[in-house]
Amino acid sequence: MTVDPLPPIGLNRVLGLCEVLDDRGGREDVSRLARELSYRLGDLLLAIRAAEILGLVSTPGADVVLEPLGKKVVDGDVNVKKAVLEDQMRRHSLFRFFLDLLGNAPGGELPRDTILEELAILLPNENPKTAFQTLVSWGRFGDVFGYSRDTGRFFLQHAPPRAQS
Amino acid sequence: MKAAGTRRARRSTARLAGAALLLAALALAAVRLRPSASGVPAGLADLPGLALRSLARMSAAYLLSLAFALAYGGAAARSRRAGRVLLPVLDVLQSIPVLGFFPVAVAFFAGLLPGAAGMELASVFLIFTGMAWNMAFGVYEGLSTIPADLAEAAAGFGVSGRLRAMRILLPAAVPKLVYNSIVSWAGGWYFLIACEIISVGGKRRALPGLGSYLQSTSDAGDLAANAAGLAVLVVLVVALDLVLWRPLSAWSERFRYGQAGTSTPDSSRVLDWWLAARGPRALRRAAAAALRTPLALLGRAWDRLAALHPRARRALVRACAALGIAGAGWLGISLVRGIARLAASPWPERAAEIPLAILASTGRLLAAYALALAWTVPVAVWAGSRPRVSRVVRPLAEVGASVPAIALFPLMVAVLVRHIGVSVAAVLLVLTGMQWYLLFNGLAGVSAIPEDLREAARSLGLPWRMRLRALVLPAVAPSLVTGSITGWGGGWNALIVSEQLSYAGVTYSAFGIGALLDDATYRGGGDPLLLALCLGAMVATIAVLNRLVWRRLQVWTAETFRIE
Amino acid sequence: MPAPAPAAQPPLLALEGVGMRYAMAGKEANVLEGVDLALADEELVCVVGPSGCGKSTLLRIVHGLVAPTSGRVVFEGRQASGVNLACAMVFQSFALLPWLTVLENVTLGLEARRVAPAERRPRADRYIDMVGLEGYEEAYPRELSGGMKQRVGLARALAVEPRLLLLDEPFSALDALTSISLRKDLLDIWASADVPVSTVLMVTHSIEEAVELSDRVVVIAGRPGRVAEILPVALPRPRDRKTPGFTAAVDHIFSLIV
Repeated sequence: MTVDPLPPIGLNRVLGLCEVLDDRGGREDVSRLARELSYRLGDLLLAIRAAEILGLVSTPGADVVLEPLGKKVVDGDVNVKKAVLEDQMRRHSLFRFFLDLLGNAPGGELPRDTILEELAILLPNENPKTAFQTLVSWGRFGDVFGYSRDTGRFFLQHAPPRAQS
Repeated sequence: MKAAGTRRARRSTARLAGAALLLAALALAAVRLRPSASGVPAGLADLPGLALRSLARMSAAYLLSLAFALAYGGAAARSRRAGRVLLPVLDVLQSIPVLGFFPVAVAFFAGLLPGAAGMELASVFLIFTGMAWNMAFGVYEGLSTIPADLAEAAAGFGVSGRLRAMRILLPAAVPKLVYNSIVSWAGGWYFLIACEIISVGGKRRALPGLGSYLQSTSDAGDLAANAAGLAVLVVLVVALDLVLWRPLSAWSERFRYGQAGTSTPDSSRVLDWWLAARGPRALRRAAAAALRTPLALLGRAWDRLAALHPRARRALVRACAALGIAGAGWLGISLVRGIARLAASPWPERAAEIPLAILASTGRLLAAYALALAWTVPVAVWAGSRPRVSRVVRPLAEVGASVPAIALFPLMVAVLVRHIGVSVAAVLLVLTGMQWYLLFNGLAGVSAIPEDLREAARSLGLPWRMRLRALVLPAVAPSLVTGSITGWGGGWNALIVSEQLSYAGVTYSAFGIGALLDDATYRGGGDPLLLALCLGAMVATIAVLNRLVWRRLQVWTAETFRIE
Repeated sequence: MPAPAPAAQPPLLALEGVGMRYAMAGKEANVLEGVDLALADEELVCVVGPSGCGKSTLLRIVHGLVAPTSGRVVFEGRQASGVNLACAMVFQSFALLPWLTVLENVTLGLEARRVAPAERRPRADRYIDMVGLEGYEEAYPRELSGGMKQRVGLARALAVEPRLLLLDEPFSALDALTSISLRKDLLDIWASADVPVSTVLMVTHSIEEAVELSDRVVVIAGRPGRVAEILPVALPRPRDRKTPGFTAAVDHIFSLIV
């Protein structure tokens, strides 16, 4: 099973990106955006990539465009944001892999080292620790995964996905 | 222009001459004040001279330690491979209690150079061992925590050689060096006095100094003179602190990379005076003028070294390493020979007492530790969060730490031992060797709590019990552990000299490894095998405690309670 | 008969002639002088000014973390002294306890106020959810990004249900995209009916941010810092930075500070 990596960036920035695009009428040239926000182009591209993976934006040519799903996230409250992102996350190949893995694990949880090993195999070009951090961060945001540093366990949050409002 | 130039030249020569004269006068005074014979110190009039001699020994040992610390710590920080060898060695050296090796060192140096010269060397060496290791650690820590971006920027700008040493490396090492110097001097007084006292008790060859003065006056039962000696010691320590350490510490603040903990930095009126007043400024200019040529030569040599072809540099490094290995080898061979000689001696019957003795002594240390924590933690918490209070408490603690408790032993024995027994007295004496490290580190830890966390605690309305539980104690835990490690080190040193005490001709002893060591050294001409066994057992205990308890605790607290 | 006019509400907070003088390194510095300010209920007020003009000090005086050297603070009609626990503060550097989880950090204030143990968890959960950190309860601050840490700070302040929410340059330690996201969420929270706190006093160094968020902007300028002007911003929300009204307000404030 081929699995795509997650861009190592927090979802706050992805949401911020959507807000900014909405302010500018839903479309902006990437380099112009970087300049006007005084944002490093590399970091901005990461945010755009993450937003694209989640289906919130698209990138025709040199622009970035806010998709209807992205607009829904901008207009909605915290619960709507989370619901949309959770839904999108669950469709991602990396998430599907771990949902499956944890689903078959006793208690729906696995130790951190196991996850790191899996990540090392699945994503040979990525640093497993960074990948893990991103997985945990996104997973927590969407209420899909949880992680306890004290016990070192990576676990499934409640099973059924939240209903969208 | 030329006239002005010659005038300036004349002024600087005049200054140079003045500086030279001043130095000569000081040297003469020191020589003049030397007391008459060796051994028996006379009355109060000799006190200043004795004090100066003790001071001279300390200074010699300190300069040696400084040179060692810079070289050793610098080497360890510079090359990771070297560090992997040098640091564990330093670790081991640091856990060996200094006073445990006193009889060995005395025998060695006395054999090297006869008479008073050998004893002086022995005492300087012992003070050196009490100072050098933690200063070397300080240099290493300072150099290895240079923020990465700064180091990169410097490299990018091509700052290298002497400029790099002066502007980047040295300033990085300075704050830790100054702090460790202060702690080292406090410990140094302790060992110095111990050397002078013990030498009188055991070897009949006395080193004229404050320590032997205190011992002889207490032997004679002259409490008044003893008190006078103590007073001189305290005055000396306080004067040094005011004139040297506080200004240095205030000056070293400017080299701190990153934020300091408290909002109000250390201020020193002496430093302000030194920087501003005319007299010192003239002195400084004179010194600078005097040192300019030798420093320039040194600088050029350093630059030449730094610019050496890498192959030449590697050869040089290899040569130094070879020398080091050769030296270690020679030490090793003499050690093996010594062990062989020991193995030939008869097995001492008292050796069977060693395990129980270790247990007893460890028990005393635990008791002292509990007592120390009981009072230092509350004081540290109370004083550390009040800058005005800590500005008073800290120098008091520094004085307390510097006044070697050993100097008080004769007095304490007279009072304590007769009434409460040696065992308990030993605990109290060990306490004095432990508590100051805990207090210092506790104070430092509390005052390093970031201001925003304190504000948040107040903003949330946390009552003092919650503040303690949620903020102060967790934040100060890493410092307390560090303080405990050094405190226990000081405790072992104190233990060795507090389990067997003599006053007015009577010897009181408690059951423990310190007393055993003492006996092995002095009773009936000494038993070298017993001595070696005792030392071995003690070092093994310390090493085990360090590995199993302290290091683990240190790693855990540093990780869990880290504030970024 | 026309109904009698309602009695004028006393302001929630009033600063009267507040001044602050420090003695540092032997020298005296007059940081603030003669500050008069009144905050009404349900207002969002921003304080702007150049660096070092004393705006953070002003916030701490309002909270009672420091006492002014002159003037007084009047809260709900009564003179305030000491830390005012009806206020809660969000810090620029987040100020989270690194060895406590998100949940423990948020419940800290509740524990201090002797909220019943059974009540603490649900209340904390409520505000953790409100700032969008549901799922992060067991995380430690060092596992969180800056934006998330600040959300914890916000949740912690909201959880004690203060009358007045104080924010000390809450976004200045965050990058552009994160602060945009957080700013929007802050406005949503403030506007929502769910939250008991409705009055906000925020210090910021960004004039645009002040004009975007506030009902009134207090401009502090000069040394010692004085209130140069209190500018009401009547633009409808959500505010667009490109409208002429917006830019006019920004330019006006800028001219006062420079």
